[in-house]
Amino acid sequence: MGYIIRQALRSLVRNFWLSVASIMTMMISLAILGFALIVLDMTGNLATSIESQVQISAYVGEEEGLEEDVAMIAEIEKKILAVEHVEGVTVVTPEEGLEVLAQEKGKSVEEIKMDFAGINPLPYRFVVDVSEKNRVKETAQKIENIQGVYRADYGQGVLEKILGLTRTLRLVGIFVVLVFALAAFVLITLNIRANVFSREKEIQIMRLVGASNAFIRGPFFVEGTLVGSIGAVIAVIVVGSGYSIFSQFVAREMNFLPIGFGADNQILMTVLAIMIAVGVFIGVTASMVSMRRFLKL
Amino acid sequence: MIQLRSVSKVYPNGSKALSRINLEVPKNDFVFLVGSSGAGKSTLIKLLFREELATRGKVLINGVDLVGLKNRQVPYMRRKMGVIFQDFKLLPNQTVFDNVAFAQRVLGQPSRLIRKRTLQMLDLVGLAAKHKAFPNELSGGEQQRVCVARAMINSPELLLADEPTGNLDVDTAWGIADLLCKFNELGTTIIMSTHAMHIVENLNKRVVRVEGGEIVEDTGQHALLTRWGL
Ligand SMILES: Nc1ncnc2c1ncn2[C@@H]1O[C@H](COP(=O)(O)OP(=O)(O)OP(=O)(O)O)[C@@H](O)[C@H]1O
Ligand SMILES: [Mg+2]
Repeated sequence: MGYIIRQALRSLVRNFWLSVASIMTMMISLAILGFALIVLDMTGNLATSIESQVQISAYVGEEEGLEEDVAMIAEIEKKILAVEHVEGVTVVTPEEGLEVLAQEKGKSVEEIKMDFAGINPLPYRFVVDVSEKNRVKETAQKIENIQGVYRADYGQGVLEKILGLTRTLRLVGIFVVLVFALAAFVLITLNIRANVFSREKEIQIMRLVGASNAFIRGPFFVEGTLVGSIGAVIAVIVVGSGYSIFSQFVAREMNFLPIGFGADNQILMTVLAIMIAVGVFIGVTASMVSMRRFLKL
Repeated sequence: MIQLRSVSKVYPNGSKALSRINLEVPKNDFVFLVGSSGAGKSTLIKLLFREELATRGKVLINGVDLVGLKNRQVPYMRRKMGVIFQDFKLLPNQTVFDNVAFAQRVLGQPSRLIRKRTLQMLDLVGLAAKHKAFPNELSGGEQQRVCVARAMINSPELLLADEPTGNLDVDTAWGIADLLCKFNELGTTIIMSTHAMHIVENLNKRVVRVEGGEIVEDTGQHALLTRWGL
């Protein structure tokens, strides 16, 4: 066993640059795979969270000076209810809105107010339920035309764009991952073949003196596994730290994005485990393939 | 221990190396394989350690047919035989000691045992003093002794030698021949192909002459029986 591992390490050193190249390609392909999985997961969340919004949010304009005019709010609510396809309206006061926001961001109401110089920045909001999904656009249009309504948002256009984007991302991701995985596979295969060549004489003698096939294959097998797992470990470090930097950045600078980073990092752990498994798998398969042709055992 | 029954070998390129060979070698025999170049001596030896497979016929070693052997079983069969060649096949970047120890390491034997047995074996072939040398620091005869040591280290029942003295001068060749005789006396069956007629004529051993892929002469006592297919 010690002999086998020593041989594997020796051949890794002997073909240093080829080994480095294989490890790097392995690393890159796994890192891309890791990032792609994380992004897919996040956009998946995004899409479902948007899809659940078959609602229209209508905001009362500030410049109209209506924020405190409860009668006006009631008036607008009535007008919205009268619009075709509207099923129901919920009024969200600025205070309620602020509390919901505070909960989403995990901060206290006071903290958020502090960020906006001590005042509540939110206007009155009407959450409008629409009975027919594909009438959301025109309904929103009509609501926006009501006097006193400053803006009426509906998720649909964004939803479609994001779904389209996710689909493209997924395809591009799968393609890029496949290309790099193939490159890693080919490089590891080349690496091991070069070593089989440089040790041809030794292998010939091993066979003459009756070394078992497993023993002859051992070092190459270990080598492939090593390249795969070293690449995977580096990729795991890259993806892991990239993820934590990115999530901190988003939490700090772009906290309006509806992207949830689970506090328990469960996605991250799953992705890292997948990366290690894929790395080892590619390494092992590459070494088996490259030996089968060369050692007519 | 060896039986060849109507063995033919045709290489993939169509060249007919052996045709319908019958040969029986009992345990502890010493057989010289002679014949002109291209007669099929090396091919015969390759069939015996299953470097090549017989195209037709049976190659039996201790009653086991090599053709029917599974790939996975070949290594275990080879552990029962040692092989040496004209061109030594030593690992140039390893010492004499490591070259001999190699044959035991690949069988996964414990290193203390390896050390003891290797030094004993090097002593037996007269190279104990040079166990730290590298192959290119040795004479041809000494290199071939290393090969004999490596072939014999796992105590095989059979030693196959394909022109082991082909690269050596007369005196050195005799040294190797004497060494093989010594192992033969210790109980190893030996088959040696050679062009060195001075050795063959002076050692009163069984001689099998191959020409054009057929056995044309066999001085062994089993020869007649085999010829009649008994
Ligand atoms: N690997 C091979 N592929 C094709 N033909 C081969 C191969 N090896 C040997 N032969 C042919 O088989 C025949 C016998 O060759 P072999 O090497 O057994 O002869 P030999 O008796 O050992 O000769 P020498 O005394 O020169 O070593 C020759 O005609 C040779 O050309
Ligand atoms: Mg020959």
